[in-house]
Amino acid sequence: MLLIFAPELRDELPRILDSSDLRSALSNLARAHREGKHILSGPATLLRQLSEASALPEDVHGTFKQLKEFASEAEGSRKIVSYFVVIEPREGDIHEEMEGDEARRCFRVPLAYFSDSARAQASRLVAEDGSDARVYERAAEAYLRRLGPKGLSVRSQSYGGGGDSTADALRDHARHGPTVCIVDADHKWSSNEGEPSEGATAANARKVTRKLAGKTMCIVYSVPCREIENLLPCELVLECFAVTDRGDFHQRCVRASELGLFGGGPRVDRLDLKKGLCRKDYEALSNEHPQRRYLARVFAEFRNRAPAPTRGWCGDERRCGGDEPCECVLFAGLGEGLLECVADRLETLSAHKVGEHLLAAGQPSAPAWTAIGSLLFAWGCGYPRTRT
Amino acid sequence: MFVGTIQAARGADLETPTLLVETHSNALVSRLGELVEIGKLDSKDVLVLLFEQDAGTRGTTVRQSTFSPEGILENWPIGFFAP
Repeated sequence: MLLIFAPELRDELPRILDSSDLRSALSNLARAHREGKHILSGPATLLRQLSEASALPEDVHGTFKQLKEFASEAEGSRKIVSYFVVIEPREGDIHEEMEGDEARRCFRVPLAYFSDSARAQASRLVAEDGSDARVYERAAEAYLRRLGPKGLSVRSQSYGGGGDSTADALRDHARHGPTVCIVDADHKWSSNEGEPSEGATAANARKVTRKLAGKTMCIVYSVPCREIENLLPCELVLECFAVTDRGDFHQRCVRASELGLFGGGPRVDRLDLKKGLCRKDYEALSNEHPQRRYLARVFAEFRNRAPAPTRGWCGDERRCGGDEPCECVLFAGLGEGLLECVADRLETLSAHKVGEHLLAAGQPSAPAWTAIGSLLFAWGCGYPRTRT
Repeated sequence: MFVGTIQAARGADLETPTLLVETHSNALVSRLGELVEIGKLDSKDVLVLLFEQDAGTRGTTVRQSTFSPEGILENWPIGFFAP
């Protein structure tokens, strides 16, 4: 993450260097920069003073000296990140505010916050589970390789939140340092067409950020889809099974690909791929909201490619009624495990290749993957680990 | 030294020399930024030209970068100074 010393630190430097806590904060920040966990910057004159401050340890002098030579570039990187931090010589709470009129946000943080070395470690990524986190990390690397600045790296410590416990995990991690939480929005088709409400996981995580506001640096980003599986490009899913045949699961994924259920953008990003689709679902959807009639075409396409039930499709010759399970199954559902396969596959690919899958122009879910990559780049950017 | 030369020429009411410096040194570029920050060098008096070769076409483009009044490089490829 880009951490910038406020110019006011220059005026208060004697007081800061007198305090052991604040000296620790300066040392922790310098070491975090050196280890590539964050980018530290500030006015060159302040960095020069810090590089010569006898109250600071010798290893930190070298880092500040090097930082001074990066300063004219590093501070400019605030224009390419969506979040950054300004470190101020004051006590009190952390403030989050908009920077200018652009979609860029800034945390104003007291220097003393970093006197605990844990808070200067690489930013924490809390996702709904480990596979989600692995996929997001690869998306961030691909973003950096394809769209980000050359020469920087992106690092985070990732944690799986455990589904419903994601909010609890966020609460625990946010206390220890900068934390970004990415969850599925769990968008479903509902009567409030166009403004889908977030699911319980995202809502609970947001509640946590509101409670911790002022004390922590943490945000929640909900990916605008039902589940992250909805955003996986078809070619990537099929590639996962190119080497290993996983039997029935493999067949179901191929079936979903044939039906165009993967990576189709807004057309299919709220479908429940784990549970599957039956004709009755479609009937409920199109009756529920007339503006959603365009789904009829989608389902008609699916139906043409799905095997017809022996007694014919409901809605034509008959209807599956009451509490009976609908026999007109368009797609049987994937169940669990797809994301783990995809995460395994992505870890074997270069960042360039991952970018071709997730971020290629024209790929319907590319904007969503770009947003995830850009967010994690902002929270995890650093220079490669350096020697001083 | 470069900035001192310009200041000395101006102080002696001589024609201000134009200095063209070819460098690979980020320390030199950063020092210019620091001098802008402390007001010893006007940001309008310095221009950084960056020659960038396209890996595909092998053609070279020249990027003009300047310093903001705070000594921050504008229109600069972030990461250029990365070790």
